[in-house]
Amino acid sequence: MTNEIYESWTLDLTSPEQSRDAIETEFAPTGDIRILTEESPEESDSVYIEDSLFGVHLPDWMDSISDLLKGESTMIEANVSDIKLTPKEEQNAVEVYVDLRGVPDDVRNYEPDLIEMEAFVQEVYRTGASWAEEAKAINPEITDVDWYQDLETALADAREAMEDAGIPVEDSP
Amino acid sequence: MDGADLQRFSEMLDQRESDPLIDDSVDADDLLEVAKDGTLKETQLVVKDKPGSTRWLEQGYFESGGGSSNYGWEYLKSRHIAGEMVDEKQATDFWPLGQMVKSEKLPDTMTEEDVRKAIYETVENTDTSSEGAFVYDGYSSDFVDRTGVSNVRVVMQDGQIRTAWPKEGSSVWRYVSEGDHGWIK
Repeated sequence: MTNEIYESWTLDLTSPEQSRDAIETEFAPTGDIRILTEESPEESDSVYIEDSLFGVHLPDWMDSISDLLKGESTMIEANVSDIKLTPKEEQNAVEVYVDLRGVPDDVRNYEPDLIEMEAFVQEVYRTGASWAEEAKAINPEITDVDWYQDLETALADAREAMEDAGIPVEDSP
Repeated sequence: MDGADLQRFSEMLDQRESDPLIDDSVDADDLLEVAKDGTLKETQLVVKDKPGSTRWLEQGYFESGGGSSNYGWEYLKSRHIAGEMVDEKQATDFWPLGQMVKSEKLPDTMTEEDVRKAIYETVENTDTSSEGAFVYDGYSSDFVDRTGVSNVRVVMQDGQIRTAWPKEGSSVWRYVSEGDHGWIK
């Protein structure tokens, strides 16, 4: 792992607009994830982490905020990889390790990233809040659906955890 | 339910003792449950899991690109047999049906029917939840020797099978796009 601690990054998720058909039918969408530290989504040619339960796992991303701020590790399970998030207290950072199950890191030319804690949780929250708003704009009745309600609950919990930790909360870009 | 749903409803009840992809313990109430959350006329497989919950696989839908309501056989086939979007995704595991992907011919040890039967057995022998992913490795040695598949992962959403792919076995190939690694055979 490099010693660099990134102060900005992008959680690049499948957008509500890309998931329009699923949101309109209230189906939890499939989706893709990229964790980008050195490039914008537009310029990146990084591969996508596929998650067939993307809509169901969005609340897990938001729950990671309170876990990390409590000093606890957490994991998000995608199709062929596990995204392991570990707080690094001494560096005030989060280690983001994408474990491609069954494939050694050197084979895939991969190293985990270190992202500054405040930058990490702010980006996760901003992305989740923005996703939820856009989804509701596409289909206002999505608020009656379990997976979306779980996302709203997780967002509220994440917001509270950030406020308790004195981290400014930004809802949209 | 429309006419096609009703036709499939009665067909499944009539054929449940002879069709290996329809659990013979499935009754009319179970199929009505499928109809409530799914589309009976598109149902290819109905099985009760270990505790007795009804699970099913539909023909489904696949759209390449970003996220969508991809699900069912079309999603499984597009990603894990045909290799759609293999370059864009981090890695893809393949069912061995002798298909050509990325200029390579994969092992030819299974049919589409075998894939469905593997999924059926996986669900039948697992305490599934209506949402989540699980792995099964309890296939008979005859099955493993014949197909070269020993371990399968199934993803469930709202009680129905969203997708499935083989994880381990002598005929299971994986294509890793990340780091331009390529095939792991």
